[in-house]
Amino acid sequence: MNSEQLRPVVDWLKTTDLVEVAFRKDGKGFALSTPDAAPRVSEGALPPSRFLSVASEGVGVFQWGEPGKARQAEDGSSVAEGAVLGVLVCGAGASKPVKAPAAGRVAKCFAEAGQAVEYGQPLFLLEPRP
Amino acid sequence: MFEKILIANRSEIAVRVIRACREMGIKSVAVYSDADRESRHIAMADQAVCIGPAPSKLSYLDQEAILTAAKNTGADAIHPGYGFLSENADFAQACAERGFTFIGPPPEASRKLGFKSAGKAVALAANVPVVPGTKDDITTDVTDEVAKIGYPVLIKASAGGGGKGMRIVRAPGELQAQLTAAANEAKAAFGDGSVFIEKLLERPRHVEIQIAADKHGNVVAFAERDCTVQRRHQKLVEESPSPAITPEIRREMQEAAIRLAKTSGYQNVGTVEFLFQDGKFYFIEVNARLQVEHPVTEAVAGVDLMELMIKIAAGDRLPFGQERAAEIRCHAIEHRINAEDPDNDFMPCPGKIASLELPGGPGVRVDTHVYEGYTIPSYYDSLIAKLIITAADRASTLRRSLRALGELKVRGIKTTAGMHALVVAHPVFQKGDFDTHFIEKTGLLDRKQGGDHARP
Repeated sequence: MNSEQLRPVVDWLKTTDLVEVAFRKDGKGFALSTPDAAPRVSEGALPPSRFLSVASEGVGVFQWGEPGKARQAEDGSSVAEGAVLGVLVCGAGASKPVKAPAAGRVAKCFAEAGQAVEYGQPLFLLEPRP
Repeated sequence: MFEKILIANRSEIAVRVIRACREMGIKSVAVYSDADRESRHIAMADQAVCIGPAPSKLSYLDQEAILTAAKNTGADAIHPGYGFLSENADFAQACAERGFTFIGPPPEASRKLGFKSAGKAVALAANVPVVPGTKDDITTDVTDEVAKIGYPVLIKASAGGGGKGMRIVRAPGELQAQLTAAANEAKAAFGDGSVFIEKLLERPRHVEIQIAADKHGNVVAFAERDCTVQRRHQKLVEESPSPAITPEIRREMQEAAIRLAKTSGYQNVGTVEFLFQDGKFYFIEVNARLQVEHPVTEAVAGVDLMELMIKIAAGDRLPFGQERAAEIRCHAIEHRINAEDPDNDFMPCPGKIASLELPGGPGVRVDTHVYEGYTIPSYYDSLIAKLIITAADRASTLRRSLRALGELKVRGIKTTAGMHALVVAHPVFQKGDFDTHFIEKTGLLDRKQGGDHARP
């Protein structure tokens, strides 16, 4: 499997909303991730994802920040480890920050302000800085 | 009536609540932990919310997560099922404070009856018989008092638990020596040497009365459930009516249960548990929830207790009186099928259900959340299904039980189905003359069972 063979997949990926595609069959696999869509071909295990999923740690309502605080994270923004990407507000009104687990680039924001979220729901896709 | 009910529970009881909701035209919200993604209750509900990771403490017992899920989904009532938060008065109160109706007894009633000691005080106030005994801390000579209670008696540690400091006294001559020994043992085990004495019931049956009380002061009591067949204080088989209870005793027990409910201001459904021996019954405790074995009463009385508790919580009046509630329309027996290994001390045996054939036909009801291909998680109770068998009389119910248990085929995991067949087929059980020590006395579970139910 080489870049030439994967050309149609690369072209297709660019037409979608997806940020990463991984495939494996008979011990061979590949992974493509945006924005460059440079294929990483592997033997054996699936190539590791370039992204870290930041999931909700509880049930609540997602907000970009505490009231009065500006939105920190947008698609493409660069963040430091521990940066507050948003907050999770529980039913009683208490809020818990959603923090970046590593320094890097925010590849995708999934949640919207005021959205009800559940435990384990992906909120962000983060591409850690190498 | 409510528009949307959130069910703060899992397994077959969540399925049971969802079914009632659907029949009543109420929307349902299931909650689940990470380990329960495959459970049937999630697919059956109108909505589902993942509330946390596998351990109960972080999901099904996480009050804030459940209340937030209720708010996010716009539920107006919360049904706690049994276990988990069902008898947690603080949760019931939190529901009310956050604007949700808790479908169960009000927090004050659970607090008054929830603890054994508190329940006993209410029982005494309601003139309901309790196991005769001394006060909580014996400090004076009790020889005369114990003679009045009648031997044999049991000495118990006030700080007790786990059998420590418990001693049986069969004759007056042994009393002083045993009291001293028990006090010393209690002091060593709990740092508190206070002990008390209770009449020892050596051959009791466990008989309980289902009650329902609306918010307008009406209370009814149903025919008894006999839950005498137990293993290590876990109920195995429940039936109604009891083969040991006469119509006179039944009426007395129902009247006692109603007095207790009225005295304590109880609301919604609940169960008053008694020990029964030599024609006398003694109050043990109140279970302030809908119990696992409620379908037995549903069958015998011909009522829907789940619908009833939802209606009561919504403020409805009881739709029938005592005479109707006490009707006995058939005989019913419930078998709790657990994913446990009968040949290995009933160790829970989670795993994947490779194939499943459920019994059916006349008089067979199956309440379950499992299906073929379902993997039973290891984090929770091992109950996988309840078989509720009904027929015109006890003898035909037992025959039908054996037929249904034979039809149940579970492969891939081990279950207690074979053990239920052994119990039902046992001549002592068939005769109906047994007590809570039935399982130990018959040695029924001491031998290897193997059999179809255990084949992987």
